[in-house]
Amino acid sequence: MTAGAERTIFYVADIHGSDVCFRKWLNAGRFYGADVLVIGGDLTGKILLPIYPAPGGNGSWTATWRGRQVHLETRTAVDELIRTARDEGSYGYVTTVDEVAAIQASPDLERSTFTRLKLEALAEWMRLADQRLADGSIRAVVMAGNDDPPEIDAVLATSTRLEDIGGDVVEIASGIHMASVGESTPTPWHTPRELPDGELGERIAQTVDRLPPGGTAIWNLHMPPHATGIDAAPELDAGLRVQYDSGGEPRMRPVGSHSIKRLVEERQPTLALHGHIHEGRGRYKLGRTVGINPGSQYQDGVLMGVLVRVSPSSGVRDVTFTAG
Amino acid sequence: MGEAVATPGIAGQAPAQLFSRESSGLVRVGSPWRMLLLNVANIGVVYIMFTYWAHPAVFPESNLLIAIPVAASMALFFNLLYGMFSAIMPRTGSEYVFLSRTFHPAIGFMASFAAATSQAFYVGIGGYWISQYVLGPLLTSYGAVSGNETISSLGVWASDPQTHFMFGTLFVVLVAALNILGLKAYLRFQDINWIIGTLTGLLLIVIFLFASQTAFQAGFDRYAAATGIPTYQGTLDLAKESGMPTGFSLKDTLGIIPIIWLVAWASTYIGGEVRTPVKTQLRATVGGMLLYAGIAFGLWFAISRPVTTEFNQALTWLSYNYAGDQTVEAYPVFILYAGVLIDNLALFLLVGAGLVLWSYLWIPSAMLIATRAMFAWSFDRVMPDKLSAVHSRYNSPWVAVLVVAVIGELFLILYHLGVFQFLTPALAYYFVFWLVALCGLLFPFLPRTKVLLQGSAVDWRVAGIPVMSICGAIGLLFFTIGLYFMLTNDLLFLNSPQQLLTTGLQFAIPLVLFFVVRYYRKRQGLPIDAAFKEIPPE
Repeated sequence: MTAGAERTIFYVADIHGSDVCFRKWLNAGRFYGADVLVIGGDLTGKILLPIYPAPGGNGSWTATWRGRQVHLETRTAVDELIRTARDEGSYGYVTTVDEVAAIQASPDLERSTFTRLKLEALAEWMRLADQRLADGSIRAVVMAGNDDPPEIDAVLATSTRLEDIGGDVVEIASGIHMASVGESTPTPWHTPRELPDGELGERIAQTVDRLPPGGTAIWNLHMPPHATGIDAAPELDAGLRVQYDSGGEPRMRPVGSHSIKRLVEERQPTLALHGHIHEGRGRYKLGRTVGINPGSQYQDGVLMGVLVRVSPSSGVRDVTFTAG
Repeated sequence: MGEAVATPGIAGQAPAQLFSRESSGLVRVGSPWRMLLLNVANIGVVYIMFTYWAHPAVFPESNLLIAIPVAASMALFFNLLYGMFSAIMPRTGSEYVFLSRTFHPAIGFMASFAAATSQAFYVGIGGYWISQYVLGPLLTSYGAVSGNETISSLGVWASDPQTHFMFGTLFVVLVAALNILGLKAYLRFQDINWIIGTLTGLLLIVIFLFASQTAFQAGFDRYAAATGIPTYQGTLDLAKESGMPTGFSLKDTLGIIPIIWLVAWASTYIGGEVRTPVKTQLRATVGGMLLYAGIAFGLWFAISRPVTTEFNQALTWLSYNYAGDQTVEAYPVFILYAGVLIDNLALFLLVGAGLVLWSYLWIPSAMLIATRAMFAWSFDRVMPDKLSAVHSRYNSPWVAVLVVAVIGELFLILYHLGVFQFLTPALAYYFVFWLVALCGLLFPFLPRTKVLLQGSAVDWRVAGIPVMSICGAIGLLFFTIGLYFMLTNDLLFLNSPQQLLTTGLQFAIPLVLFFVVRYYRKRQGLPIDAAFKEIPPE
């Protein structure tokens, strides 16, 4: 525990179902000496890995993994692949070719299957969190991000140790408060929690209006502000293909929220924590506000994070980026 | 961001595949081909020049046509090791990341600091060398052979140490400006320079391949008459009279092998920014080294036809060893040979401009490396925040660029004053490479790192032995021999007290600095070494 009223916050975002990243996050409090652990949205994964009985009916399985077809002789090998895939944020799913064909023929079935796997995995995480954080010495807060389906809110509520702070204002310590909003502006993929930029600004304004005056105000917003260096993403065409320049490099452009930028400039929170753009690891300064995006490298099992020491009177005392 | 997309699977056929869409989190800057070229560019044509000059001078009974391929086949393993490291830990910082996570953050910082200061040294003296070793010899030799007085006088001007210094400073400013414009600007510059470099290289190969020994001898004799150095035959005779060992010896040829610079690793410094890191880094390191070695071999093969190995060894040996009264050629670089052979002004201007641009190619990449290392230190709070400040318009670490420019200029002044020799940074780098090789040897066996290898796409084994360890062991042998020569052969100018002190400081300063910063940061409540460590998941 940090001395006095200062608090050390360990913030990550966009772990996207990576089991090993979540487990590391749970251990990060003791490891880094942090008082508060935060996941700023996008908890659930994006990839489903079907594992099929191999043709020929000899009791083995097969799957396409890391671009290659792998053959799994035993159920132990299947379980091992599922564990490895989970560490990289993929949901291994033992199924049949026919079932996958049915899923692909029905968007509803696809969504329900995917959501079921996400919820099962998240429920496991809640149980693990309750075990590891049982002594209550480290506070752990999470919120859903734009990629997380609404159904996960109910699963998050089952935890006794993790607090779902999405849409809320919470006191981190005396004189240090955090307001959290996990929605993003519209993306080309039409993710579950998106709002037009104006509406997102209104929602954030309504949330931060509940922050008490004075002290240290932390805005925990999944979406980054526009053109702050932490929001550059590749340009896409209508077919969602990345656009490259003549030299073969992706054309990057700022995709952050104009409303958030305006609000940050106007209201000057002490600290703004963001995610959403995985390669946007970095920080910005807008007036007195320090803004941070720790980036994400969940596919490699690397937990990209940031340790921020905050004080009610002095604001942000220190920022250290981590790659654990 | 993101949602899964399904591709159609057909019942009864091969298993269907579900894959994620290509989201922002999967896309990085830095294509495989550009990273490969970056690696070749960073070794640079200037090092090819030293390979043809310094190595035969120090090892006169050697044969480059044997040494280059053998060195490349051995260096291949070490380049593969860098590629594997970067595939396992695809993050910006290269040695800084690998050594920090394997051994200790202090060792990572120490090695990275030594590497970055070595690169800053090259930033400072790169422009100096363009004047000293490219423009001077080329203008002087062509001017003397052609009788063109304007070019001769330009050659005299370009050969003046004050001109070298002016060029050095000018290029520090230019390279800083280019780096402030950002990585994309650098890569565009690299593209253009590569096209020019390739055309120049091909042109040179054609010039040398189609020139006869007689033509070279006649041209060199005219150059010798104009500059007062021994003629072609006179050079061979003088070297023989002065005691130069002649013929071929395996020992001398082997002596060259570990000191030929064949490490193509610049892309690993921007490991966090390359696309498909496994494929890209492996291609860029191994492919980059092979391409460089191929260029060095091909060009030498062409040069050795009209110039002959015997003559090059005599001329270079005299430049290093001659103690008599006669004036001998001070800078016997292949560029001089080109100037001697070219007999057409337009062709001369074309080759000259190409060589200048080609020689310039490596300096911005040296700055890129140094600034990325500094950026990584600052990000981890080992160095002040300001070093990782990013320019709002160009997205470049502009403060780090300016710091490297200032350090480069300081090195330039010291080099100009004769404090350093040209291989000074190589000694520090060889120690760094030695550490990386040791790291590779042990990586698959250390409890904290073996899981990283096992979870990676490069967990390859041969007869049960990790390929990474094999690469590390070969690298360790390669650089141990290299360091032995560097520290025992006086002609490499690396074992003098001031050289050893410089190299020692490159390692001692960061080591002390790390522990001072760590102590300070610990008192603040944030242990910096935590930023380097893998959080145990269990």
